[in-house]
Amino acid sequence: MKLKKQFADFYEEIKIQDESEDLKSKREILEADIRDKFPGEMKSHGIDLKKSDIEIFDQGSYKYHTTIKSKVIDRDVAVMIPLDTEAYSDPRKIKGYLRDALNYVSAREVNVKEPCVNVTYYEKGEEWMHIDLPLYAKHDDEVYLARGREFADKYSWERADPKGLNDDLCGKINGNQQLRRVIRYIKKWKNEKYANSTLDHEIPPSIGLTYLACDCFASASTDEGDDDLTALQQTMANIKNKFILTYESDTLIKADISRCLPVQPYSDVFQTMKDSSDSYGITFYNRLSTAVQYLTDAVNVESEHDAGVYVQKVFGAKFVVPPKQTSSSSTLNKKEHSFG
Amino acid sequence: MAEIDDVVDILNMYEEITVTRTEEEIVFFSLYGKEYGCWYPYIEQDTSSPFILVKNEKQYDYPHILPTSIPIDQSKADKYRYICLYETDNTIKFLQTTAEKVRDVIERLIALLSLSDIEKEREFQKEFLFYWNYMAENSTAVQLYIEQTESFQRMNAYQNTTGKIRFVSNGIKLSDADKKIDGKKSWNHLPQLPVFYIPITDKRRILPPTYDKDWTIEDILKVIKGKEYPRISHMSYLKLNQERIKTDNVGLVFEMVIDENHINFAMIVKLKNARNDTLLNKLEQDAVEIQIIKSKRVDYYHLCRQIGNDTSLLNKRLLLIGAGSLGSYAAKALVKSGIKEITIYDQDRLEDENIFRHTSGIFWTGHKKVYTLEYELENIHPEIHVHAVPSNIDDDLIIKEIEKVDIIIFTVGSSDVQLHLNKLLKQSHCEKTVIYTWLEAGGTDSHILAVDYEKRGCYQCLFTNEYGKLINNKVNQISDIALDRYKIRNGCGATRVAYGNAILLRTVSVLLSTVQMVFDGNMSQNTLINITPTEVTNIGNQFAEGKCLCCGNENLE
Repeated sequence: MKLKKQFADFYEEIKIQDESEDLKSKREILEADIRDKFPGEMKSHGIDLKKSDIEIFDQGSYKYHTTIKSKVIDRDVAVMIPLDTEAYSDPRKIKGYLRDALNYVSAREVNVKEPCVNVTYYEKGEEWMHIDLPLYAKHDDEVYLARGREFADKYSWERADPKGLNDDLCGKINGNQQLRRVIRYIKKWKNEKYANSTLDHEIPPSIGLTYLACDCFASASTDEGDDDLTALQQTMANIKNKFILTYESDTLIKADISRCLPVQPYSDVFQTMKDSSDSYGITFYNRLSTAVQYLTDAVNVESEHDAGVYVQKVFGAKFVVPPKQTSSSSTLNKKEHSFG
Repeated sequence: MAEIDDVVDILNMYEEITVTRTEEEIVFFSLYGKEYGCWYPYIEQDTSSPFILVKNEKQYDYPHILPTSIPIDQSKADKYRYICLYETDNTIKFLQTTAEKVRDVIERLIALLSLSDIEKEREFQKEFLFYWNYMAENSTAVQLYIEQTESFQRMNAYQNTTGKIRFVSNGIKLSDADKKIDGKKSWNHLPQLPVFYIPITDKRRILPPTYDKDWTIEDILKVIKGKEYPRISHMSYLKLNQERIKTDNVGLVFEMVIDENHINFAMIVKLKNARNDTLLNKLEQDAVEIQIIKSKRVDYYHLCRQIGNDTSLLNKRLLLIGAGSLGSYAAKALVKSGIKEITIYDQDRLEDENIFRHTSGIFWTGHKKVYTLEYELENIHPEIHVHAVPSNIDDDLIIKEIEKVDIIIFTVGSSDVQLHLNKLLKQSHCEKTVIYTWLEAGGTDSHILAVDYEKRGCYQCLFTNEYGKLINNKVNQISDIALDRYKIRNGCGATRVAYGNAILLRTVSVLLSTVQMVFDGNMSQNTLINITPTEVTNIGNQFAEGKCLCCGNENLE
């Protein structure tokens, strides 16, 4: 099996296993503030909300344990409240109330964004962490996500099932360590290849990549243990094959991929990306195809070093290429170990 | 012998290298903008190798470039630093030609200089202890005795009369802790220096102090309170918040795993004052200075792990019946293999005739064998604890001991003793595995019988024929005539047999494997092993005829 140690080391390098203590303490303070301050803010707008009725729970990669290192810590924490969404039909206002409840300390900056209320933490003028608070309303046994920017024309209470989504993804990922690793590798590939992207919706969403990885996952192992190179190559190749391609005179003009959520609102997680520009899908497909080609080359070459060079083209310098075994290396057959 | 021109020719073959000058045994060259020297001493030694020096430059911290500088040129104006490119005893230099050696060292240098940032970090971490110890102020390493749990621990500092210092986890008891020399305790507690062991769970970005980058309190805080991701467990962090100290010094012992090796590095943090506060607050608010100290982990668990001992034996307790020749060898081998709690019964005294087949030397002649063994075993390592009982074990004692131990080993010569106690253990439904070992006169054959009394076969089966009649040990090979020949009579009724000492080592090596088999859970049936100088034969439970009056009437598998 090729590159076993290199993949193991790379995984250790990119993964975030747990919250840092700073993140944990900031999150706990924030959660306490939500419980303590949000009811009062709602009351000042004539809405009754009991502290005990606020539900706060994990969402996103920290919940599924698929977080990877990035420049800024990014944490999702869901806030769910009972609310008559017909009487209070403008979710932008409720998000604004949550923002106002929390926006009273200089250590953090709170803004209404889409779809979350975003809490950003700065140190020496630099953002080092943000916590996204998707706000859900429970009404008549249904759950709704507050959609819409503060001053956007488009807004709605959108049906949602965040706990169902958590259960679905945890059910797929928990107990399958190779899948968890493959998801993290693919997310690292995305960060590497989209590092300079600035356009809205150009980057494939993490939830989409996570679902595609789950759907297309191909486990691989040998007598020596899990073969992550082969598993990643096959999984990414399977994802590539999911695209529906449209050509005009041999030119690729559209590369569509879809993945609907298995829970409310059952929407296609790539829809916004597709609606934004056809070129985004083509870029996604082309970058994925390049990665698959490099990984296939890595699987096929004999030399461990050459395989490492190909994989490094997918992941960047954090993936360490094993040393070249040159014919002039005179120590090849002259190794020993001493005892004493 | 390498001629300097040969070295120049080889270096000229590399595009990246420009030879700048030569001086005696050194060829100087430039590579990637820096000046190096390839030094191949003119010593005709097949086992020597060339080595590389780099012209000393401040701000040049790079893995494997040693911090110390050496003046090598004639004027001694330029200083150079040695680059460590080889692991000791990693290659057989005798097999390499001179040209191969030069090419090898150059290729290693080029590979070293081509490392990516992440590779440099890994190389620095591999050499962490070298750099750490280089920066340390103490010359004698502090001994670390760390409990096996690999979780945050409070330790105690002790100093002995010669100035040696130990940091010992609270859960570890050392046999020499309370010993006195000339009426004074040899190890004294240092209450003014509380010490904490903190295992690192994520080693990313933890680098050793280097040429111009010392460790500061910021480095400690990075470890215990990483912003991006935690480098210690949440449990350790909570402990840092719970443990309180009221001293102006605190010792910290960190541990991290580098390439499957556990390395420990220790320091003393000087604090502004001795106010009572949590360890975390003291480190965050009161730390003034860090004193890097050299340390060496020497606890029993660590030393066992370092040499690859089977961990299934760790923390098992042994009852050894018999402190004679075989018992002494067995005890020494077992305490070096993971068993550190051992109770030994024997009433005999060491005699001169015992010396060459006993581990105790002539100094101990006339002393009780259990005491000589106690002394010797506890001197191997202070975590070894011996309960020496200078009497033969009796029925009541063995029943009491069963509950306290994990395995019982007989190393007594008398079949009567073993037959009697075998019967007692069977009747008592002993749940611990019992191993009987015995040697035959003449030094050729020896045997090991491992018995789980819930399984088929016991020691008495060896003395029972297919009709259920008692006979002499049926697996013994020696004839009665030969036995008589090897018997040494030294007084009325007292005898011993001659068997040399090679049989002791043979038997003990198989005994070790048998004990490991027991604790690994691989003993599916009671097992008899016959040992000769050329063969070890495991015959399983074939020795049990099913007619034994002790165990044979039971339908056991």
